[in-house]
Amino acid sequence: MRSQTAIFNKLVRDFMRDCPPTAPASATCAETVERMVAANASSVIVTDPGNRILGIVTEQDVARRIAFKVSPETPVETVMTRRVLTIPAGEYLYHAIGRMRRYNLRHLPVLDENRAVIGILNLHDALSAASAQMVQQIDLITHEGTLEGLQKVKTAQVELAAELLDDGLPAPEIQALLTHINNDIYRRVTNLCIAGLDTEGWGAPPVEFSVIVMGSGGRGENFIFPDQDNGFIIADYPDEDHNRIDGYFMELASRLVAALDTVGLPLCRGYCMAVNPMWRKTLAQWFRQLDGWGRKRNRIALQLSDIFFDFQPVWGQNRELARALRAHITTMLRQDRAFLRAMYEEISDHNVGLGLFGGFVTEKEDPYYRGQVNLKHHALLPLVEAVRLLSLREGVEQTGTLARMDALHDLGVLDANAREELRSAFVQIANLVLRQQVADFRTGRKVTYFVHPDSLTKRAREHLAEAMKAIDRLRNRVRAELTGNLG
Amino acid sequence: MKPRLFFTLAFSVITLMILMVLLVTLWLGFEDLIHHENLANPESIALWEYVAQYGVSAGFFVITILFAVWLLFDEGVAKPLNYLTRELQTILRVNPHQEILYEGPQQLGLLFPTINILCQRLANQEQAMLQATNAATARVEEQKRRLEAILMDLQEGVVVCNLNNQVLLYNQLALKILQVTGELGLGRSLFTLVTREPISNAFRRLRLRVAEGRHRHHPQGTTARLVCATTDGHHTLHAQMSLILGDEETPTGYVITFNDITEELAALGKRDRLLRQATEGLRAPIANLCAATETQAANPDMDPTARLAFEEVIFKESATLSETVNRLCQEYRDVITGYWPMTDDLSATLLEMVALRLRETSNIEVTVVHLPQWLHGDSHSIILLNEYLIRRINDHTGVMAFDIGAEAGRRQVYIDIAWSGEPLPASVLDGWLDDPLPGAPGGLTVRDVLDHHKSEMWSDRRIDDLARVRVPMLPARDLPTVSDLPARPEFYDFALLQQAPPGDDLAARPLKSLDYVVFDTETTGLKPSEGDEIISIAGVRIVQGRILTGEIFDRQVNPGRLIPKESTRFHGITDEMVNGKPPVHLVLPQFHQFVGDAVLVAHNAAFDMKFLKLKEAESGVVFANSVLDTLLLSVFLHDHTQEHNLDAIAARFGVQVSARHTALGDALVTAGVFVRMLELLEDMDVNTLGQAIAASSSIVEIRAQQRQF
Repeated sequence: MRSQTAIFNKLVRDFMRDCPPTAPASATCAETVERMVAANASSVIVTDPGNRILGIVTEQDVARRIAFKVSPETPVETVMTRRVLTIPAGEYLYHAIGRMRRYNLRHLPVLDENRAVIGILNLHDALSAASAQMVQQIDLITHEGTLEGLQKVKTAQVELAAELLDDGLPAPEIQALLTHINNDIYRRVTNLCIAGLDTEGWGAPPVEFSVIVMGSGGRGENFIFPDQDNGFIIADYPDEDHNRIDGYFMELASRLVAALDTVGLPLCRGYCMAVNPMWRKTLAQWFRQLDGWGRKRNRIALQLSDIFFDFQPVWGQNRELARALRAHITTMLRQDRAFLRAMYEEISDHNVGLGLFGGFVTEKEDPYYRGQVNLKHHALLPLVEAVRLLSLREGVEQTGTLARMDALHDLGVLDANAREELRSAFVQIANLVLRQQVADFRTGRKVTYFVHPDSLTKRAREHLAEAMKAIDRLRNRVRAELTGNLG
Repeated sequence: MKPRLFFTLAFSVITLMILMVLLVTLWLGFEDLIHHENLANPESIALWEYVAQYGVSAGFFVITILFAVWLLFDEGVAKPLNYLTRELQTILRVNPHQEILYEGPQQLGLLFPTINILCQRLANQEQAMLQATNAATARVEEQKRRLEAILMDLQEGVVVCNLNNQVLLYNQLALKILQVTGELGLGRSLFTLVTREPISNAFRRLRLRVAEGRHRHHPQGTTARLVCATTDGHHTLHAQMSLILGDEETPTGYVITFNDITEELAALGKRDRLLRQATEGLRAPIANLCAATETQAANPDMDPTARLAFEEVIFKESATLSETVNRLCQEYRDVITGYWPMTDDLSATLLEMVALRLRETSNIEVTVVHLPQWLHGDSHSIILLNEYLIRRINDHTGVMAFDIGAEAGRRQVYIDIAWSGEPLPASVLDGWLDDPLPGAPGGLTVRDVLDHHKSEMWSDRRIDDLARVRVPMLPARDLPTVSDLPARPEFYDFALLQQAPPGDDLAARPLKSLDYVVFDTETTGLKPSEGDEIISIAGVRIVQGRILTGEIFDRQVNPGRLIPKESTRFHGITDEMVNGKPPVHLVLPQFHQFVGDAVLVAHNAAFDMKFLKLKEAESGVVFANSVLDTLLLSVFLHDHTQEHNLDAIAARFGVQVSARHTALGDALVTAGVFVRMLELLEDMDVNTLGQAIAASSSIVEIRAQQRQF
């Protein structure tokens, strides 16, 4: 099961073969063919003295253009294929597969950061890592070149999710995949915005920084069409440079957010994005902010910290920024039980959607969804929040809900039974939501978290009720432990 | 609360109140009875009971009536209102065309039909709007598709850009030519793909042509040819740029078409090889003929007359054959050279590419110096020629560092390759003439390239004692004319120019040994203290008296305000062009870094410095550098004339003016003027920076006094 989505995490670097023989542009055809034969390779790469690629000669080229066609002394420069598509070593394997299939290539030279050739990727090797039906999905989600292409990637995500669901892949794995693709889009769009700023005269980023995603993106639990929840951690700089440096990051943020919106990651209604100075801070400012939240503990502070605590970096040369911030959160909360208690109280009314007599609590306000259960508010959030609180208390640094459960189990906070119960609750609810969202998308309805209990089988209803009960037990426990209230 | 519930409650409350009033009345009557101790009087009690009975039945009637009225109200008003709300919600959310069918009691009169009409009208309007939008979208889509189809058909790579140089539209061939391997094109700048300078140069040229109205009579209208390269320097591209003009003939973007000449020339080269093989094929019969002649010569027994005739035929044939061979050879060379597309190019563009290629593939350090000059030629072979010459000079002399630059002569533009060492003897240079240029098609030689450009090269020593190889080139055919726009008025800020004297060390340094940054700004207007802002700033570095055209700072700035139309006439920069460009407080720190410790030079420096000073607080950088002003130096050097605007000075010093009235163009012209001024200053015994500043200050004082009178 796991192998199906595993392909999306693999890098070109791990699948490439050693560099095929190379030849300088001035080498003759005879020499070139000799090198190819000597190395028992199927191609020779023609490079300049800096080992940068100028062209390629493959077995096919030899057959079609060299043997019996030109004299052996002809410089290889004149017969090589000049336009060579390449791929950076740090790129995801699925992009390489997409590119090779799109351009009908069997080899793809692999380049390092200096654009020097360091290896070659074989289509056959790459495909061995992906199952046949995965390859079709890859074709869909590696659209390159245009804005419309990236929008198509977003649409293709739904189909990918649908197909994997039909295959019986557990929803959390699909969520991880969706998050991964979205974070990959984040990376690409960020690189693009930085390059755009540079060519328009804004210069390079003045200091190191990291782009973080928060909320479901940080937990690796994106459903279909998640909002943007993002921010920047910027390396510290002297105050007098604020105008200059924040001016750059403000512009970067506004371009990033707009570009993400265009490719299908809609703006966050809560304005939880890097364009908001609240979410665009230097490391020291973040520390001060966290300490401030810890002191004040008012409603807003608690809500904001709630969004923030699940953050993960998606872009940044310097991983240390995100690591330092995470470490600060961990130590701060371990020492601050009062803050955790206040956090609990803030969410104490997020109850599971079970009524007094075991029926589901359904939507009352919105007539369009009347009679339906909001699985986000009445099942997922209560679970995610309770697990988050326990993890923060225990100093667990993972952000994924399932990973947090495992870590809590390892620490002895959750016994094996409880973990199994909660895990299956999470998987089951995520499955329901994802299935509903795919159906909504296909029928052109708005994609939400509402599920009608009547649309479920009796067994599914019972399972859902069980899951909610398990979550409720966990919440009671969290309340007892954090507030001392056994009620 | 729903209306129905509300009415029910209201009626219940009214009923209760009336009942309450009745009860209270009865109770009061009873109280009265007790109070007057009429209890003993059975009559009174009977009377009260009698009244009480009527009271109760009255209460009963009241309840019944109210109930009946409520029923009527509920059926006739409340229920329909409830129904109406629900139906309206459905219309709003689900089906805008649904008609509200209501057949109950008609107390609400025309409410339902009226609402139906309203809803219908709304739905129709929405429908019409949707149709109009759809039609418009379809039309745009159709146009876009048609355009795309045309683009696809073109045999050239086409890219459409806006004024921010962001790619708006392109065809597949363009991707191929620009070596794009298919990263996403969203908001991508053209300059991430091709070298910036040639494109912005062509754009400036065209913009100026349009601003001055010359495009109406110009043979090429609003297009210009240029040569550029992919950013990795591997592919030389021929391109043609056409401005897209909007209202009032202001540019809104440009279309640029690309041809990869590396490939085209290579294809030609293949044809040549075939031709060459053919000519080589001819060589064999000639050899046979010759052999036959020899045999004849070796056969003395032949009849003398026959032999003479035979010999004659053989000699004639072989002569014709060899003539044919020569002709073929000549023709095929002509084919190649004849193809050579000759364009007008800026020398700096080509020479930068020479430097780039050498830097990428060897340790030879090439610095591009002097003002860029327009020359006419085949750019690709000029690049190859200069690259090859430098490699050969390096082989011959072992020199690792070269200056390369173009200088304008009377009829020609000279490309100088300069190094410190000995000039090359003519025999060495001549020995290179027949070398084939590596990378050139069809084995083109140094001589071929020189011939084609009607050029010959020589080596000698320059005034500054460097050895050089000088290659004359044809001057550009379409020389940008001197702009007839009026010059900026002279601007004096006397306080500003009484600058603090530089430290003794600096003041005593010889002028020629200093580093300078010559710069210019374009602004929204002439009044810095009244809200005018910088919109463009450019500078070029001078080191050891050499203008380093490879070290250029050139930025457009978003002024954060509208650019007045009247100022656009001068600099050609529109609001749209600065959209997305950095604000001044982000550009000035970059400029500050570029300047470093260099002495600042500008024409009418007081004006530009004023803008820089005003932004010191905002940008956090202070320009405390010494400043020289070419305007003041010109007054000092040439006090015989009143003409000290930049055009006049440039003409006096013989500095070719191109792309005036752009920050970079003006900075380059000022640099050219300034380098020549350094010579003159020496003649006037002004040798150090301190003396130059003192000379300038004396001029300021004179002007200040003049102003007082």
